Amino acid sequence: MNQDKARDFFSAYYEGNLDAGLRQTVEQKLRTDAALQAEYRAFEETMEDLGTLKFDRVVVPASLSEKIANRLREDRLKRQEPASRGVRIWVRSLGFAALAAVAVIGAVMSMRSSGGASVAGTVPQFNAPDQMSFLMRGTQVELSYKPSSARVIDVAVGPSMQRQTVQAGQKLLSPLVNPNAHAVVFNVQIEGEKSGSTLFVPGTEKSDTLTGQGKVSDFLLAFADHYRLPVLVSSGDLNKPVTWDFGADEPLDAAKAALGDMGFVIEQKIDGLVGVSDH
Amino acid sequence: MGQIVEEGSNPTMNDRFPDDEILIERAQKGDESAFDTLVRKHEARAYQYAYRLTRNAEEAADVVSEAFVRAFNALQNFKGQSAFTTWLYRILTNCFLDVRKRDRNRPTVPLESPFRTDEGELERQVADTADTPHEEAERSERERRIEAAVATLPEYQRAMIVMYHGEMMSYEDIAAALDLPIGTVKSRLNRARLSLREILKKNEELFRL
Repeated sequence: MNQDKARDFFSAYYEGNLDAGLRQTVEQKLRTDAALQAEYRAFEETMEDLGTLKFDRVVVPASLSEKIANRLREDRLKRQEPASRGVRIWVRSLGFAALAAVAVIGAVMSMRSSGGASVAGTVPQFNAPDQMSFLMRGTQVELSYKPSSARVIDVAVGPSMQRQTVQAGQKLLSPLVNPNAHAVVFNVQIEGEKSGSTLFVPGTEKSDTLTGQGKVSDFLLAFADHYRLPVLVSSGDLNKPVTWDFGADEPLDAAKAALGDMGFVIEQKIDGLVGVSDH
Repeated sequence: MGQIVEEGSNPTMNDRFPDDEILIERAQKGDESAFDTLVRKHEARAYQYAYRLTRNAEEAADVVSEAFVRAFNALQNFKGQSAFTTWLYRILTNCFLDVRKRDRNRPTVPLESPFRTDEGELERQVADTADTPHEEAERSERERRIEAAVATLPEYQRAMIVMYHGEMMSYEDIAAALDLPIGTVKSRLNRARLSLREILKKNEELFRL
């Protein structure tokens, strides 16, 4: 056994993991090779140092969780984009216009004291305090909300979001305007509420495409553009796959044909919107 | 407030969290919050390992973040043949090696430097021993030298030394983490120890000059 070969067995010899024959061979080599013996003693010392070494106490930075969460969020967003290319296209084309549409909330919001004179002549009646309502205005939608206590409301279009605090006794009136060619999705969420409302608001151009397939959300975008009707979704899984055919003249018939068997309830709401829910 | 990972403690052993198997199953079905819980459960342990490899707080955080992103993206491929932590060690090691490959010229933080945390600088902390002050000083000096030597090992050897001697992983766990036969792990670890011995010898000669 030469020196190199003997060195290969240093760890196993130190840990007592060599079989008897090999162990005797290594011991014989160490007895007859003073230089190698010195090397092995130094190796033993290193092993003892490693065995007693107290690696540093590690201080985990307080920002670590947030850093990881941010990286995961970035990555999830990146992965979602190619999967929903159709949506990304309208978000991109929406561009500044999307921001403008949502910013309308702050700009044209009409607030008035409860019981005061109406600023806008088209204020819908509220059935109960805290109830949010949507009213059809042509192909667009008007959001109306009058909370009994101060609430924060978020309206998002794609990556853009507008947040507004509405004080008790005030009424929020805001058109949700889509100035783009194709339909977009407005997500309206009241802070602290479990679920929000999702609105599919048609674009400025009517789509003549009659058939398609994709997720329920893709269907609703196509539906809004084809029939020029806003859709209010209050519940349901919009990621389910679906195929559709807009051959029917009646919008509700077309929606029921596509979604009826999937457990969705389709209804013409009193405020003019098409309502979709899963109960 | 930062979290201190105590020497010898197992930061993954936390009753607050459900079992890894349950969280992984939920995450594989698309429950992102389950994966977020996995992250919270293992981030301290992952950071400890990454810090011992990199000896740089910022780089360690980068390695850990990247590792969890990779773990999330590869979660569907995780079949539970090894523990999640073992799998995570493999990803962390690969991230560390990739970062170093990409950033060869990044300066190493001197061992004498204080830790930097969000709360400011911390003195290097060494566990209490029953040694006399003189023995303690000698031990600390020896530890500093050996830590410095570990830090200069090639990345792959350093990872093995840290796994075995720092993270107290068995040969079997390291083999599973690095997807290597146990025999290969043993021989590579032996070479890493011999390299460490050589570095220490050279450093001792330098000190004598």
